[in-house]
Amino acid sequence: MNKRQLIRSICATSIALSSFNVFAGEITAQKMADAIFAVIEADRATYTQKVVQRLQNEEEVITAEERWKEESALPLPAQMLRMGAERVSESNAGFSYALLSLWPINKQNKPKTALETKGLKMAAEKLQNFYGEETLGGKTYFTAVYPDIAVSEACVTCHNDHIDTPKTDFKIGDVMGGVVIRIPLN
Amino acid sequence: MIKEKEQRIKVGVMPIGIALTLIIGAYLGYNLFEGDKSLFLGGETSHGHYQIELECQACHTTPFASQEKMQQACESCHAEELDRVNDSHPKKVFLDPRNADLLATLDARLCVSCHREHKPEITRDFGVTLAADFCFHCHQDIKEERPSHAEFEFKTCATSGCHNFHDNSMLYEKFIAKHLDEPAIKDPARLPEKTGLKRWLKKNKKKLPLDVAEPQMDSFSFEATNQATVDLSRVVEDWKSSIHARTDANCTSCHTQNVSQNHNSFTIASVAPVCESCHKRQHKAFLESKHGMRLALELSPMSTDKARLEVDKSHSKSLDCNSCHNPHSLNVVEAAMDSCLGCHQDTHSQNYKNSKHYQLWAQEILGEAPSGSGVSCATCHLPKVKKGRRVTVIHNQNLNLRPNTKMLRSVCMNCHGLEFSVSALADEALIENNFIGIPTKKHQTFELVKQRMKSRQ
Repeated sequence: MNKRQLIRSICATSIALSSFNVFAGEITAQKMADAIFAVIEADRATYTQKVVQRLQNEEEVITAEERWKEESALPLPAQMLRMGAERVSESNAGFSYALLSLWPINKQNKPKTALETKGLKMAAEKLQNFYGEETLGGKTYFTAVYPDIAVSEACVTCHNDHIDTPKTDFKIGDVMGGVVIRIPLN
Repeated sequence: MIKEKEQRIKVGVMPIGIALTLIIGAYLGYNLFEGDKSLFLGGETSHGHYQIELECQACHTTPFASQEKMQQACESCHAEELDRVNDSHPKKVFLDPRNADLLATLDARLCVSCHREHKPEITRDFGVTLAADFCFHCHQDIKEERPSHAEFEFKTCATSGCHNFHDNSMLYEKFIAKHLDEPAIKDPARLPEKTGLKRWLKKNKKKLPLDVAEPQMDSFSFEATNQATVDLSRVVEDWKSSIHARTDANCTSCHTQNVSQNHNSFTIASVAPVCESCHKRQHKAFLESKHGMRLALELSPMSTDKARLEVDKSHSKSLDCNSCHNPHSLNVVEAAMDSCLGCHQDTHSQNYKNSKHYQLWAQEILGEAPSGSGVSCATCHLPKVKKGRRVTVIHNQNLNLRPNTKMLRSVCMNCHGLEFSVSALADEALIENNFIGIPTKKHQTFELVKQRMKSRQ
């Protein structure tokens, strides 16, 4: 290898490394949260439309029930999301997520922190994502809130008809709540 | 002079101190590893754990084990059951950082936050060591959410027929609403029939019942581990008409043929593992029960002399599969009642033969009433549970007692309406007299659910 070749290879390596650093620098907490939400949203929409909507509402083969285990039924889409969130928590994956609402059926899922309230309002009123930082139990988190939209008839009828719902006029395409993703910052 | 005297005293005391320390150390050390470990118990152990209290490492894993290790020990025995009943407050829910404030008050991720062992003075039902109103810590605003609950005190949340911290698999609104206004006694009142034999026969259509010629018992002598005299002809007779003979289980299916000795003999070293080779589900459930929990830790079997419950201690009887099941006749009628009453002598057990349930059982075994119409001890405590097309006997007799509303679907509701059943299970005096009579109080749950249903219309 002559001098010129050596200089070229050093330059190429430096460029590659610097471009990797730029790329690595781009994976911000916000990017990570957006990517996680895309997966959560896609999985849940697929389950709602291809499994629950089809088997319960269209083909009437099986029902989806809150007490799915006892009633030998399908879990509700919201429960499916929550079960996934619990598995992620148990696996210590470095982030957590939850499905919350300003009109929750289960009151444990109403906003608790100021940031959750602000984020859910932003999602409902402006159909926009919301990003911020908050401290919970002495730890600082990057928190993102994404609008959760009714994707099928199954979502709308179940929420409107439920005995504990505080809102009975949801329509397909309405924001029903929000997905909250948290990534610890330190 | 005085200084010299003081020094002499100090020199004289020191060897005594060292000697005493060594003696006490040796005494404690011996008892820790070889002798009486009960010296180290921090207080009387709860009803759930006393059978294994001297197996310290079963819970403490190692001396000075971390909280995490001890939590793993709890989960190694209890996690599967909690998952099976869809635990209402699983640990995983509390891992979400939004619940950090709740954990600061009550760390629900750890079993020991509510169940502290060796604390008899504060231990309540199900080994709970928190005050009875513990729900308050997280559900203070229940009055706003459910105005109908405004008058209730927090210490009544877990009353039988209302709520449970872990298992609410029987107590949800939709189930209760579906079974409102059912009669006290259903018509017909029938228990499901077991499907094990039917399934086996369906799979083994060509297998005929075995006969005496096949085991060739006459060429063997029998050697039982307890050296008891065995009436061989009786054994053969019992076996011949048993379900084992019908299902291709020969002597050597359970007994090892000992050919190394100068005579042929059958021995059986340990009963439970032999039974397990065919009856896996039953064996697993048995090891999870108070009857089998010592065997699960490879300790000597539970025996009547170790029992805290009121049992017949005039003879020491240890618990294994054949304590309840005669291994040759496999008489399930005997196993369903006589085996239980052979040991248990508490008021509930002693009242059984005066109950309507027993009358029905007696009629059934005499052939005067249809199959499935009688109620034995096993009907309630070792229930036949239907899952899909399969009906099997659950061999963990504690399972549906914690809480007792677990009996509703698999036991009571085969014959009784839901409201009658819930009221009966909440009536402690009625349980004690073995259900002689009917529940005296109506359970409030049903009125609340009816009101909720009305408010919806």
